Amino acid sequence: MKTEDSKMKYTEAASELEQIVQDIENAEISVDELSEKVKRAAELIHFCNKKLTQTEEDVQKVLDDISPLAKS
Amino acid sequence: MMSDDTSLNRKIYELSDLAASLKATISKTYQGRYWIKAEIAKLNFYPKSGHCYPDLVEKSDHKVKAQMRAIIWADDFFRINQEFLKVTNEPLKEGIAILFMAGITYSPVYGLSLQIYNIEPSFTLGKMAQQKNETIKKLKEAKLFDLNRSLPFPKLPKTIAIISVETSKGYHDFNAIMKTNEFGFAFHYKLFPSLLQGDQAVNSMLLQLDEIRKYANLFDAVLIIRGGGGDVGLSCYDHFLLASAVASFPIPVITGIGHSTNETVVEMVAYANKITPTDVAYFLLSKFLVAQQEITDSIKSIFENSKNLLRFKQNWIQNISRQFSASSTKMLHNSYFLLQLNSSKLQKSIHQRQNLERINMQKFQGQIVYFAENQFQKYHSQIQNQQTKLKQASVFFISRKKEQLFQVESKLKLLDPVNVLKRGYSITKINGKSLRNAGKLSVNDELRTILYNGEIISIVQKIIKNKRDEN
Repeated sequence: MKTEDSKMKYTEAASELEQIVQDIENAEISVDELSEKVKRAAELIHFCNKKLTQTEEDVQKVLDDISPLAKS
Repeated sequence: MMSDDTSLNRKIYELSDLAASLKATISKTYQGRYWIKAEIAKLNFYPKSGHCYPDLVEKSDHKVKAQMRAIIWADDFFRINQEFLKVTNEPLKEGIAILFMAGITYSPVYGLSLQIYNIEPSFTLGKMAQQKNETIKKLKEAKLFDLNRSLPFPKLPKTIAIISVETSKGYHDFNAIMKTNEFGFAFHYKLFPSLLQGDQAVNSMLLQLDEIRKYANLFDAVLIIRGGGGDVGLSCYDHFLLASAVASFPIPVITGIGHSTNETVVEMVAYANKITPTDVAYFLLSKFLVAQQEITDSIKSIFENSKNLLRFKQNWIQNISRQFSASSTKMLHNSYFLLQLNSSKLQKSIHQRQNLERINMQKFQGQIVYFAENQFQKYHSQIQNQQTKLKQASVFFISRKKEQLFQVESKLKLLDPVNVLKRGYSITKINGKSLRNAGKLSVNDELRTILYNGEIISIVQKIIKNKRDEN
């Protein structure tokens, strides 16, 4: 799963992040994995922050294309 | 007025005669005013004149049992409607049950009608409450009531469908908060315009909900927001169809209908009811804030725990190396100690062994001396023995030989030619040798004859032989 994938949901990213936090918290990872995990966490955090503060063009475009029924 | 049809002997009336007769009968029979209950099938309000001509029905199992026209004159209608609104928050409208006081009138032109003088709004209110309860009961029976509220709420309600009116104050308030929020949160929304109150609102909202349902996977939540519209015309939110559509909607529905009356059924079944659109906006922003806080916490936790993890591992390495050095020293020490122990043991055992060997040796030495002496004595005594035996044997042997010698001597004495010569015998020799065979003699041979006390030399004159063997 890559953060570049625009299909990735915030929930998925958040739960992956949560898992990493838990793994590090429980010291269930080796030092070898640590830097990799921290790097991945940084990616996810960046992705989540982006989700919080930026609108996505493709979503906006889909929304603009929906023509709701006129007020009846 | 009346005329006779003589040919057929029938009495024929004018319509107006009949009408006049009916009018007289009715006004005579139904003089008072009566409290009647019925349902307004159609209101037929004419704003221009202000008069209202409701069609009243009584239904049983969806079948019309009775139907009648009514009249509410403009003055009465204004007063009755005001009173009705005040109590029920609803205007007089189709589909509601009313308890009213009416007189029965008959007009030859318009026919029979009930002239309504007053309507008891509390009756309708009771009926509405009853209907609302029935709606709730039906939703619960159909297991729809808690459906929307038990949906998972997205962590980040970012894409939102809004059922509202573009010009409504509530929608405007909502927009103002969301779009200019101080945290810089961004969200997507789409307005699905709809009537939000009154009888038409149910269908209007149902249509838009159906529309949103087509894009349900795109949206995180649906908002129904309304504001500044007062508390009138909200019974649509108690409508079973709308309430069940909201309850069974596939994504969470949040209401912000903005009123001060009792909670409507739609608000009860919605995922969350936030009273005003402003509250809805803050509710959504709070979700963003929670999400942001989670990220902040994650960052903090990752930082702290990574630090701890590394420190822990460092400690571990330090401990291990300390342990390693301690245990190797200990091991060396142990080995050295063991070595020493073994070497002293070895020394001790060598010593013991030496002693043992020495003792053994001494023992052997003693034994050897003993055996040697023993043997020596044995040999010595044997030698002595043999010496004695030898002596004895020698003595015996010598004495025997002496004896033998004596015997031989005796014999020899006997054989000594002297003795023989003494007895008269002589020995004749030729050329120094004893002569025994006369045959070897020749005449003139010199013979020497030895006698006991002298010798005679003679010459052979004649030889006489006897028969004896020559040798």
